[in-house]
Amino acid sequence: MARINTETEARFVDELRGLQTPFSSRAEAAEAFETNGAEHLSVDELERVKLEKILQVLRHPVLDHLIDKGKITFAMIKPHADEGKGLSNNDDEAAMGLIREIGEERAVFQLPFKFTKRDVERFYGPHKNEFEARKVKKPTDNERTVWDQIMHYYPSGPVTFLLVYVPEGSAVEWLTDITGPTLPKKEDPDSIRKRHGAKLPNNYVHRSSSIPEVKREVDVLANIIEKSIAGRTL
Amino acid sequence: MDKSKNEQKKKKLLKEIEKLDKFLAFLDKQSPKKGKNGKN
Repeated sequence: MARINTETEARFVDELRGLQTPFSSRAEAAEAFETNGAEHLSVDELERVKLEKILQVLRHPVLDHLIDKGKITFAMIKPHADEGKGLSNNDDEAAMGLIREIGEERAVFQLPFKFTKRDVERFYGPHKNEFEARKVKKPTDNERTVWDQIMHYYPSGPVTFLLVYVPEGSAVEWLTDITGPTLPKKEDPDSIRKRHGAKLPNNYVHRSSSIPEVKREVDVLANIIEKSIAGRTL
Repeated sequence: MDKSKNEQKKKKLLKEIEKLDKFLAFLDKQSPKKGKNGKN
């Protein structure tokens, strides 16, 4: 494991904050996919080079170390943030509203993106059996199980990947507390999900459940970016 | 997008790539992949 001092940690976080990712908005990310169909991103050569370097940062032992120390966790603003009670009717503004509630100073890395069905399989793959065994309460033609619902929901709109930095540590627990349970009940304390009327599958914010999950999800994110840029059409 | 906007975008990207290179070099110095004894 990398051993880093506080100066390196501070610089790492500052650099992450300063990274300009290819899409300035979720709408732009969605458009980049729609131009070229479902599987590949439309980015030019220099954007691709930049993304490759961002991948190196995401795979760097220093990030791994900060995850191990409980200082960084993974989150994602889910598709259709604009469905949230009290949030803007504009998806990008609604997503920004959710990021502000997490804390802009804590959301040190933000990447608008769009999942394909294959990406969803990569991301939720380890939970597939569990989700396939669960039936949805109000099935539609396309959605009989929770897995069908997830496969239908995620590719339906852009997402925002986030790395959340909690300098005092216990980042996974901190984010779990402020986002709230999967489906908050009346008696549950105030949380982001409760405040905005979370329902399934849209409870607005995904967050990793443990440090190993943070590592797996960051790794999946890096692989998704890598595969998208490898197959791009210029 | 007109030519000058394209040029501006290209310059901006090159700057960002240079900044990322410096950052990665800094990170690699903080966490050398191999120690003196050749172990990770």
